[in-house]
Amino acid sequence: MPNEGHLRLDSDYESDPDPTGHPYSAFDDISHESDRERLNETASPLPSKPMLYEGASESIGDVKGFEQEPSNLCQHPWSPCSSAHGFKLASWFIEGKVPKSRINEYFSSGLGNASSAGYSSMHTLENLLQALDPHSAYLQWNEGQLDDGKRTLPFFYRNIRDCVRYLLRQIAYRDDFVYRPRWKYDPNGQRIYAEMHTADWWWDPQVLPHNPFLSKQSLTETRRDFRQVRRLFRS
Amino acid sequence: MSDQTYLTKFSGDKKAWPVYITLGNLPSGRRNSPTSMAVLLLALLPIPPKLSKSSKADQHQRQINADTLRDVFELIFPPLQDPAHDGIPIDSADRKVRMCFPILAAWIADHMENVALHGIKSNVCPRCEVPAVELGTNMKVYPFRDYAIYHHYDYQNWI
Repeated sequence: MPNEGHLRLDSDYESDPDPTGHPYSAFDDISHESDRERLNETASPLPSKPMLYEGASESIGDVKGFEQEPSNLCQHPWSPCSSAHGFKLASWFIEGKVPKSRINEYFSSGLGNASSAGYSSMHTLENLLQALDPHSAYLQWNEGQLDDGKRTLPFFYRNIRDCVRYLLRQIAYRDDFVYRPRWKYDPNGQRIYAEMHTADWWWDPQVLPHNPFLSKQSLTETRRDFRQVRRLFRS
Repeated sequence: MSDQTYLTKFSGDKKAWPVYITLGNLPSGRRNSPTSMAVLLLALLPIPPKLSKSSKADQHQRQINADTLRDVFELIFPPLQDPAHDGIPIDSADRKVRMCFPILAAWIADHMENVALHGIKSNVCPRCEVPAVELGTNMKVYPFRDYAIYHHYDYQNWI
């Protein structure tokens, strides 16, 4: 669900500039798309209106330290590289899938200026790339051993909760995230089930901490209550 | 989503078994786009060695492998059990903190992987209890499989 309010570069890195010419305009827009939906939507039961569950997707606070992110980007726009030349050169190496040995040759043969790039080999470039992702700490690997009685097999896994945290923090998806279910209808009044948040499943187990209809209950009781609420909406 | 994939051809049959994770909060167009990189590698599962069908000892070993694979998932998924019920505050991309309830909503797997993950026969339906001879007839509605009850029965027989 792209936000048409402002044009954004389809980027996976927070340090990439915005093509609108305002490099950090993504941080200026505080309100989220769902906030506007809440203002525009009324409690009208007309089936042609998209219907939302009130209270869903409410925030319980602000992320600590987010004020520093734009200021850090203003001071060091090409971080972790020291210059624009170093950043663009690293991007060219990676997007062009240049082999590591050729990158080392590039610097050892004197073709590249290590002082302006900020790195002089593939090893130092990899160290910079590890610092590029501010949330890479979420993606640590764990190793386990599986003993099937005859042999021991290794396997590797990540913390699934940290993976969810990592994905939800990605600013690249900021305008795409949907935080609550909604009912969509076409102009003829027919229900649209195209996305996960427009289908019924999400509506059923939705658990809301500040829901005026619900107190703290178990998930089973909550599901039953939501079915009742849904019946009310349908009737 | 997960599936076994071959790493080598004609030289050892090395295989990997990756499990990927993504978020249902993203619209499908964004989520399924390879360039958006919205899919994370969650785990690389152990590959059990090849076993023959004829040997009874190998059949027993195959059952042990299925049970130990369940132990791997009991190691990977517990971090989601409590947050799915009680919620957990998670930082969102729009610099707001929201109470999130991460629930494992769907698992995309092919039939043979369903057989391996659920410990069922390869000629039965992993979704409902339709007999193998009635597959595809659509004559009668059968109840959905409740794997939690199967696990309970298995546990009762085992002790």
